[in-house]
Amino acid sequence: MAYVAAHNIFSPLGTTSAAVFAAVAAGRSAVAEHAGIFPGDGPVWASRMPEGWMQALPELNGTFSPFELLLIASIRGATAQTALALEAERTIFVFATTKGNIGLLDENPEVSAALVAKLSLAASARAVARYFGNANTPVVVSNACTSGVAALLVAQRLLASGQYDTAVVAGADTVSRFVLSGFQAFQALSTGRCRPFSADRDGINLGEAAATIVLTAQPPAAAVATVRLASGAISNDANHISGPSRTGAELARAIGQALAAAGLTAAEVDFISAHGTATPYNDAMEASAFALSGVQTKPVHSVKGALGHTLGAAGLVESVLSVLALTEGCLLPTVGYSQPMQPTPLQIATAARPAALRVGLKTASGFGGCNGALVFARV
Amino acid sequence: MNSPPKLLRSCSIQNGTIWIDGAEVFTGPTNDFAAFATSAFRALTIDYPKFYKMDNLAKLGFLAAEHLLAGLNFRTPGVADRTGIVLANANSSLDTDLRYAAQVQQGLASPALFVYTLPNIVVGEVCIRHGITGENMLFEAEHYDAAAQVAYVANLFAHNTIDQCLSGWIDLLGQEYRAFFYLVGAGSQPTLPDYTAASVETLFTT
Repeated sequence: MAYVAAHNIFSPLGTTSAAVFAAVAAGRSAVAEHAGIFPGDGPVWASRMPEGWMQALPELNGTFSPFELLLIASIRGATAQTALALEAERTIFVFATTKGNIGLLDENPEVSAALVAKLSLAASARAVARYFGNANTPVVVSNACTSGVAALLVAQRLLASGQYDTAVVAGADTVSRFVLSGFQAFQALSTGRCRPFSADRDGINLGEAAATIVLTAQPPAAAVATVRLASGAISNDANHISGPSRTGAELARAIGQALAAAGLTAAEVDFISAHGTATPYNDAMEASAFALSGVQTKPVHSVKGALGHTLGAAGLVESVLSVLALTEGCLLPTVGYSQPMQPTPLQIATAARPAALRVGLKTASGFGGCNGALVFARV
Repeated sequence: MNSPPKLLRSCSIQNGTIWIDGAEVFTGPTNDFAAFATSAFRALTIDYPKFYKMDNLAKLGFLAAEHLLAGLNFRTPGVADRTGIVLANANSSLDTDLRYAAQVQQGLASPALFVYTLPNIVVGEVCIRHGITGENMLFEAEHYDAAAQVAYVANLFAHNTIDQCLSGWIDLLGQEYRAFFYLVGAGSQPTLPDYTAASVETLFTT
């Protein structure tokens, strides 16, 4: 168990957690039409940072890459108003990303030792941790689309081991031609704004963002509504490297394990922040997993229609929104939802509504067959 | 588990050679990883054509796991889900990323290649081959840190999350490659080393 001491989302929908939560609750979306990938291609729908967003950070432009700037801006957004000792020896930085600086390859640079060094995920992590004055070697998790969820679980374990008091968990990924072209090659991109858990869903929107959650071993001193990360679990389908399991059995097991470790039953879950990427296979698999683990009647939401699929950041962005859902007492809508999918329709809302919420479940799945589940609970 | 975990076995692959527990078990071409991988795979005499679709990093991991886990069966409930894979890596999937980027530069994009542009795919391939469904984690680090890895994995044992774990280091970029895998779990032989940073570091550096 670890306590949420601070958080931030830095995204095209806003650069504070509160602003992004309000936007998502209001049903807004940053997913828009953009130029195609290759000459002659049709448009691509994605959630991208607004033009010139880096100008707001003039002192950093040129020293760090866009990916690193997203991380720095989010960590600063989370911690600037706090008394957290980021440079302390007992503070560890844990990062989540799938591709780091891969956008650098979009410009077709010459492959050199210098480029290889810039592409190192661990080196980017070190540069960001050093920027905040922390001398510990940061931990970097790269577990495909479960990275954000996995990083939070890793951080919780590091705190539980007694090695550290505070973990700054930050994740980011950018939208690049490299990644867009790959998902297009998979025919996994939606033809418009994606439609999570809908009968007519046809693929994903990619998104870029950064998010941060600061976890502490001790509860925060201030007497404000607090959320704890109660538990988590990771599993693998052992079935296919890019397609999810047809049964959802391994995600269900991760959900069950996480609930058991938190001392909670399926009945006590108040809402689920799903992975909900809007691919035909993922959403069907998740619905099966929810049924297997007994949470299929719980309110479910996916924010992939609002912010796109932010890959390594997704688990963190969506966990911050889950934390706020708990503290604000508000069930989030699913932008893009159209018609219920069959045969296992879920409880999806198209508008936000107030509710007394105590326990939230966050799920994620990714290439390589990995699955992750986290349980957040109000203290 | 009741007693502290032991270091059960190790497998190292480097410079065209495969070692198990320090003993050389295979040597192949040293000038080209792809040629080495093919000859090492053929020497296994197993039926697994999926191997040929893998990228070099996945092939390296597959070979190391095949040797490390030889004779072991994980496909039973209570075993599969309580077996973990925790690996560390320096260059992510950069070897394949560069190949894929070169395709994109030509206006092409192969989904069969793109799927390997993530460092944790090698973990997925090992899970599929051996039926391992438990905790799986891929860490990025500039250098292998045995102490950090041992602390993390030992913690998983202490919290009863896993009963055995495939762990270690795997990295490949161009013709520079190294796999260092080891298996941790319950072991009754008194000669088995305890699972400590020192015992792992010793294996890594020999």
